[in-house]
Amino acid sequence: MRFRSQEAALDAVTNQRSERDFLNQLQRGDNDAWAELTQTYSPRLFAYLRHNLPSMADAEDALSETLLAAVRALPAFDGNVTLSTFLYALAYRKMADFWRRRPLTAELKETVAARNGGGGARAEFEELLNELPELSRQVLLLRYQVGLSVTEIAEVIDRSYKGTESLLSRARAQLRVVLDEARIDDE
Amino acid sequence: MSDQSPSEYPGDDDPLRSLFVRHLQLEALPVEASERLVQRVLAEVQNVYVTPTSVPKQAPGHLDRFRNWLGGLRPVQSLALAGAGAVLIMLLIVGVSRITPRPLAAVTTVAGGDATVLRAHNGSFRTYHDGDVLKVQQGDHILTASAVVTVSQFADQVAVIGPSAHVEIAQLDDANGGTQVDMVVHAGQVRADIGAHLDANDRYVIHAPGITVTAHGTVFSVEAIADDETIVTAFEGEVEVQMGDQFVSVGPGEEVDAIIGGALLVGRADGQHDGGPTPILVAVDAADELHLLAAPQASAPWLGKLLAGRTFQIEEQDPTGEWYRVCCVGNQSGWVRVPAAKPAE
Repeated sequence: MRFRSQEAALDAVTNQRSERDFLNQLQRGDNDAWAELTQTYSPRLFAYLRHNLPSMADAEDALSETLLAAVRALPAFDGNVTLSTFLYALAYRKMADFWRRRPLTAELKETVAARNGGGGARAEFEELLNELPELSRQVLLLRYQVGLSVTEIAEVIDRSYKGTESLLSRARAQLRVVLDEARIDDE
Repeated sequence: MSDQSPSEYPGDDDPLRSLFVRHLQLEALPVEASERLVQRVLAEVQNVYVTPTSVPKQAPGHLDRFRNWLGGLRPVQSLALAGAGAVLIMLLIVGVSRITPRPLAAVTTVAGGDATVLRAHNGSFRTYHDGDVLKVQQGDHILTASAVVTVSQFADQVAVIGPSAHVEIAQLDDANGGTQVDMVVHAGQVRADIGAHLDANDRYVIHAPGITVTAHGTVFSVEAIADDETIVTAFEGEVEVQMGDQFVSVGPGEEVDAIIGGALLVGRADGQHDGGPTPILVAVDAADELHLLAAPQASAPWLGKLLAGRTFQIEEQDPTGEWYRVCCVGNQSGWVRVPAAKPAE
């Protein structure tokens, strides 16, 4: 099987005009296009899921479920949002399903501490993030870790633009409070 | 990947973004897992997009034999059979509609994930999955995880509950000779779509933190942001929003941001920053009109009165947050005091 380069794939999915062509290829079931999509988006989707799920295996499973759901849903996808928004929305839902199925005793805080070895600046920052309400944590991760715009975040969490803007504003204020308490400088 | 622009939140995003970059390093997907993933995706693509080329011929079943029997009937016999069938169906419909009480349960569909319904009549709960169809009744609570739940309350009345929401069906009946719908949005977003104009006896109300939203034949959404903030957006028709003694009607393309303890803020719902002032509506009853003053202090000269139901654009807010400079009364702007908005928690 011949795969085009990562750069070409990235170009294809980031250029709005060619995204339409790329989408057409995907909707025709083009194997090369699907391989490109998987290889292009998997690393960042995986990173996002990894920050939200307790283990590598859970993140891999959720990533796999996300991409398989994309394969099934794409024939009906009308292209009214970008492919990245479409994929992150699926990932967000898979994550919500994971935590709904998960027994309440499995706290993300514990698993984060475990994977970071219980120490270090990174572990401390992640623990601070986990002190925030879940929706606040999600909008911050989607904004600053994933790099989505407010419009895209609104699509992913299925809220209005204004509502998302308000949630993000509150989340920033909440983060600043916990950073101040922990004496971490956000500058 | 995204259309984020550095200017979307000028001077605010960059420090936080660098903080996330410094502290949240990307964990790489193992190479072998990546390869497995591509293979799984391609296998699924084959399942979904490639149709089977040949279907093995099967022996005729009962349906085929029935079809053959129908095909063997003479035209007169076919007509008589069709007429008898139609009469039977009509009798069934009339009979069922007479013995069945008017339904007070709403057909509800779950799409795209899971949702849990708490039943009021017996205190039980059950989680439903993508594609499930159920009925909800007055008193039931609907909690969506990843799903979008569509509740068909009456003909032309549909409520779509977004993910991560908690909505209570407080009332669902046909009392007073009209349709009566009352929902409480505890969290998340509900979009109401009322296709036909409501009659005088119909009532469609949504409660959310601090506010009451009343529809008059419309499409609108109610979004509970937090315990003290709700956003109402009108897409078609008109909705009335009431918070305490403040009251506003908004039409298509407008939204209301209601923060308990603050003013009802009315703005455009196009979701983009236009750089212009945000309109505010200060509605008061006739006995308690707000005075427009020349300066942000109670002793400043009066310039005029803000009449109930009128919309004024905010030009400035003083440092205390209690005074807004608004435009305009008699072609001049001035200051008006409103209760300070409760700070975000």
